[in-house]
Amino acid sequence: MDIELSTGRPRSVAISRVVRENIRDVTLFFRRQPDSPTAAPGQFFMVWVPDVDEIPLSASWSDDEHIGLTVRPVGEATQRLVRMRPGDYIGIRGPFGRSFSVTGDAAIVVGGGVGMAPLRPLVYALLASLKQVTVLIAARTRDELLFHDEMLRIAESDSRLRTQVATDDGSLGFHGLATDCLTALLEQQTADVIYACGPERMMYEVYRIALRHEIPIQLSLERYMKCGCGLCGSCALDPTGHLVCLDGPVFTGSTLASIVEFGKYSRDATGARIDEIR
Amino acid sequence: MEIKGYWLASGILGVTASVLRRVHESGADVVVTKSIGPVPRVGHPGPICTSSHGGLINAVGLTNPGIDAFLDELHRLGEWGVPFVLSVFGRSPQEAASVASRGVEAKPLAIELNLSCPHAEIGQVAHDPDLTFQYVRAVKDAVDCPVFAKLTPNASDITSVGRAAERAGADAVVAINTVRAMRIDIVQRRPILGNLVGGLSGPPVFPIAVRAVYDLYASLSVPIIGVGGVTTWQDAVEMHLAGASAIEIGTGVLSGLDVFSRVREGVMTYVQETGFSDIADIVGLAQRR
Repeated sequence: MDIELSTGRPRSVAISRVVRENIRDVTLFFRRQPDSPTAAPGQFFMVWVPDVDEIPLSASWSDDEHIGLTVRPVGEATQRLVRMRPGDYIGIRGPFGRSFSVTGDAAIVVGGGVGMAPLRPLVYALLASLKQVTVLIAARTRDELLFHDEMLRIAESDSRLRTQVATDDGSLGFHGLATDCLTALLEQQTADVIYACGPERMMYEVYRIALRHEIPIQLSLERYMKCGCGLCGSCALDPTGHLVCLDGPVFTGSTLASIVEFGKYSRDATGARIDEIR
Repeated sequence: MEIKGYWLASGILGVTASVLRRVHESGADVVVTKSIGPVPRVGHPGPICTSSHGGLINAVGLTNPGIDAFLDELHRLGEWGVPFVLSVFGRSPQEAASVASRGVEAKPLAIELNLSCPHAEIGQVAHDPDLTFQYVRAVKDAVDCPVFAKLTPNASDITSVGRAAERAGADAVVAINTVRAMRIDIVQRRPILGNLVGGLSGPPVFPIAVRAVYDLYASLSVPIIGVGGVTTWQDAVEMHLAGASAIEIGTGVLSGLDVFSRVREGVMTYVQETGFSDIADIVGLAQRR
């Protein structure tokens, strides 16, 4: 038993670069120490924001030298993070969790809001293994689309990547929900795998669409998390006791079929059930 | 209830029925819930855990949904037939007793009274024999099921606290809770845990637990439930020899949920190969000189 490793080798790192992605989201980069692992697409870090809290954040970038975390300011810790500057310190544990697995020949990737964060490295991984990829980026409005310009740039030089946009207000692309856009998309093309991350209401609908079309699916789930490493039980799912931190955050459709709370309810910071999903 | 076997220690994974059932199905004979109080409690801000010298330091801070919400989980454990002990805490003996009497509605095998969380305000109870006596007595008077008192190694004299618990009617004592500890990040030059102070668990506390169990066994007549740093069958044998009738495993689940069955099988093999007929035969054997 290696507790140092299980707890994700707690360490402090300096922010090396800050990139504003859109009007809300910011990506913080830090240098990967030579002895620490790179993050696979879908894996996350526990991020200690000094004086505030420690929160889980998916890696939106990972190469030999740098790791990137994309943050949307929704609470005290994330608001503090988006104001950080190069040279500021954060604590890091991880990477944790099971990553997306690259399968099939033609993938559809659906990202809602900041849910695009773990899907960015996935798109690169899919393209690196010669897949056809359609990425569907959804947001409330065009100014909140995440990694849209970057995906367009890749698509310009790589015909295997197609991009699709859905905005709730119709300011760009499909006017409406990601899930309605996906339904329309599946009338024109097929896929042998669907990946998704975003609000759970969206993911639950994506899951049902995939089920109807009999397309295998992999989703990245979010639950309240305190330890990130299988100790506290905060992120346990009903009724199987799957832990989002260890057994997820990426789950396949067949596992999700046994999770009664998926799309229905979650738990708050005390562990109490709340009839609310993000 | 019979005090034997390998149990999930309180505080680890124990906040929902679903995950407690999974731990039981993975091999834990009994599961002890997270400590439950009268009202919902968020606990401390993160980081709530870090590692140190082969061990774990946590300051979760008694996070729990309160006994009313938790009763739903307990009833589900009952429906599923998962043997469980309910861990409770309170800011006063009366409050602990009222949480326990609410909890027994769900028919736990026993109440484990957390008197010793080292990073929350109840941490001081098990430092003091008189206070410990009052808590145990109040809970004993309130419930019909067995009551266990969980003791702290941070007390200057754990055996006098254990004797007070026994005098008050405790049916067993549980030793030990975590050891008060701190880590400081040398890059940021500040304590790591959100609560600054936490409790050390895992392999580094094992010899402290063995010493506490040994001393308690020598001076009490109620059974001792040993807990602290057990991750292998060799550890478990040592703790039985010190005087533990049953053993709880907490941090050891980081080595996999099969830790309970691995430990049990190893101890059984040891018992057979050394010519004993039952694990109970080796409990406290190291007391002879």
